Amino acid sequence: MKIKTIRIDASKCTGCRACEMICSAFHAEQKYSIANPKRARINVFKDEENDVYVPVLAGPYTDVECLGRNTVTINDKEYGECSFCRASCPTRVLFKEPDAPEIALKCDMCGDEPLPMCVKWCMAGALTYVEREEAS
Amino acid sequence: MTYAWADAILEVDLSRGKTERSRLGLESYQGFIGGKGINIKLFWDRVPPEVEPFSPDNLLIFTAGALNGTAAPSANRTTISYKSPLSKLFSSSSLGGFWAPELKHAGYDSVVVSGKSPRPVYLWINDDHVELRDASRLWGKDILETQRLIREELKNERVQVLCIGVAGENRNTAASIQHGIVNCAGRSGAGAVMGDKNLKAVAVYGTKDVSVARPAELIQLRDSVLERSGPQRDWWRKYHVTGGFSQAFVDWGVFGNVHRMPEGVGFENMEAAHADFAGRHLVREPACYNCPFKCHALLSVPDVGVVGVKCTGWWSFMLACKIPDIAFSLKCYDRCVKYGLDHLSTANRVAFAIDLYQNGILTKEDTDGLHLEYGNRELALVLVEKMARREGIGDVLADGVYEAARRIGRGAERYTSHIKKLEIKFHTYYNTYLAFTTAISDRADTPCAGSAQMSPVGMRWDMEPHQYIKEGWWLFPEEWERYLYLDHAVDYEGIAEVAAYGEDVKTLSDLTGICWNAAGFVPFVAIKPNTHVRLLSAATGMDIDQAEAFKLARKTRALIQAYNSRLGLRRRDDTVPEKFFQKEVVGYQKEKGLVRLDHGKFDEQLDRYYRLKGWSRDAIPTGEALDGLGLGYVRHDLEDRGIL
Ligand code: SF4
Ligand code: SF4
Ligand code: SF4
Repeated sequence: MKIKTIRIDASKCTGCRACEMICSAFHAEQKYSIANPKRARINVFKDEENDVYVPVLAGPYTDVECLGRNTVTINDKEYGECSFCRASCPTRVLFKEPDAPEIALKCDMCGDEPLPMCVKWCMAGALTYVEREEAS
Repeated sequence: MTYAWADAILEVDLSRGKTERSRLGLESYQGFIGGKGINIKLFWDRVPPEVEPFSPDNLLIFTAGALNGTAAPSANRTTISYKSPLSKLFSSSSLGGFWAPELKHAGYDSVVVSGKSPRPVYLWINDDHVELRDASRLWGKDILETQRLIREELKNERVQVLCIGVAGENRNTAASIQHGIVNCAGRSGAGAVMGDKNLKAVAVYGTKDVSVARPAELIQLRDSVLERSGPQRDWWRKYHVTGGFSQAFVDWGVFGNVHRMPEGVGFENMEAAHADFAGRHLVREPACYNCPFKCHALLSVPDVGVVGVKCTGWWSFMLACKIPDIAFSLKCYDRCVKYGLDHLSTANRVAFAIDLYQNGILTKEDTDGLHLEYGNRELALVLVEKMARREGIGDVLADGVYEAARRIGRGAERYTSHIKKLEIKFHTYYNTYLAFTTAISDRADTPCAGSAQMSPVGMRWDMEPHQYIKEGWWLFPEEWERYLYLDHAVDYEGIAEVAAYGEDVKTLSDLTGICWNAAGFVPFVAIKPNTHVRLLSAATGMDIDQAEAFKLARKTRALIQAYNSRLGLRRRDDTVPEKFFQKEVVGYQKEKGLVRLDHGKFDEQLDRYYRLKGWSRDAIPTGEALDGLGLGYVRHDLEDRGIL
């Protein structure tokens, strides 16, 4: 089985949100006819004051919030339990169609595109695409 | 169906506490495109010239560029316009970041704020839900705390906030409007107008789509721009890390204390000092929304924390206080940012005060017992704080050097450095081209921020000139190759032409919201005028060519000029301080034999420039030019007032 992976190098991220923009435009009903980062399947978590920039790709939908949560401390600052989570979860608005919150947004690796859009247009090189074969 | 534009404005009447969404009316506003254009048109229609800057009738308008929120690269600038409490003219300041695209996604092109709130409030725009919220617990907070507290209160990390700091609350005429850690609408007192209105912040969150007219074409143009973005990205990296920026200014001979140029500040090798500091403290090069460049630097500065800085932020206080220490300079700069102060005017005011004291015009009685001197680190920080809070001597200085000199008297005027009352930056006037373009700029500012182009070449490009032009990096028409070194040239030929053309391109940026860095300011221009106009056409469906787009840019510029003509702006104001004509030049121009700026030649170019613009010798747009731009109503108004 082919496993598709996007490697995130958070230290290279400029926080420009071009990945969010292009993801939303690419997935528009008529391709590229709109842009709307709130429809993106990627979200860049940012805390400029503490120099934390983390692109997070939308993972699976969950219909209940999780029980075991964690916090993350970076450079002495503690981040909330959901900050870096990939799930489309009932506790938050992230990774849902803004005008139809019942529809979860999940990264589909841009289907058959040779290169995922966010990777292709991340000019800072924070995202790289890796494929590997794994025995199923 | 409208594309790119929302065709909507949000009207906010702070006196009555009312907000209302209304149609912009593209049929009358499309010719002004966006940003600064829409702002001046709204101003012309709604704000009579006699309205005072600190009157409830002064408007504070926040407008997105036409391309903001679309896929067009680097289209993220917000233009904020108001009658300036500093220059007393119509003025605009713009900032990058994420705010204007967010506004578009909330469904508005523009937020028009009038009146004055009886108590501190902030505006919360969440798509169609608009609310004025109590800001009493935010009053007195610095700009980073303010943004953090608003996000927490609204329980939304992705809210984009514009806000003022303590300086704006106190109506300091250098008060800025800030966004994020580094984005700043700094010059000419936007923050003071906001503070006067008791408006602490404007927070936006938008979830709507921005549609475009010709998606495939727009994306193809976008791709081609990004594919050409490498050299400029490398250029920024290089100049952040090696300090080439600093050295370029030294080479230009345009580096020194505002009042005593061209005195140096002590570094033997500016480039090495900058590179050494960046090598130790650079942590990230962030970018604004959808921008492939990363033109600012995040530095981790000892005793200060993470400081977001670009260009002049590195040196303003170093030069003003004659302290060759980058860490010191950045500490003062950071203090300004947190108070919501334009560091350039503030540094200039500090140097002005020290000069007055050193020359016996101010004494300890005037300065709250402070001994004002160059080289004193603590003093700089104390003065910044006093200005932000309007305490003691800070109260006098908070009105700017022009007003302060009038109040102080005793010959203080001689020590001021301002153009149209806006304090000058410290690095531009020993160069004929820069002096000229600053003098004619619509905001009396250095050309990177006003209406004109900084330099035919931007900065150094490290590429053989013919190759540079052949590869299509140069902003100007190829047949003007002889002007490539205009900013080093000792004669004046071409200055008016290049300035007028540069102004058209710069104004276009102020209308579309595409950042000037991407569209002209620096070498390796990724979005040349032709591409810029095609992006505009594909996104909006306007279908105009470069000549038509330039004409629309001139329409906006002429309307600004007409508005300010009604406020008394004339040719005599389009100049630099006399002392810059008196001192000898340094740097490249000196090496080539130029001794000093020449009044006669400067005036000749001014005549040429006005002719190219269709303005009279006294800088007033002519009736004929106004008619030609579809501004007949402006002609009538100027005629009725006896100006034409
Ligand atoms: S496009 Fe790349 S650099 Fe920009 S926010 Fe996304 S991951 Fe970060
Ligand atoms: S891989 Fe495609 S779907 Fe997934 S986040 Fe990137 S652009 Fe969006
Ligand atoms: S060039 Fe710099 S200021 Fe302009 S949009 Fe890009 S990151 Fe922002």
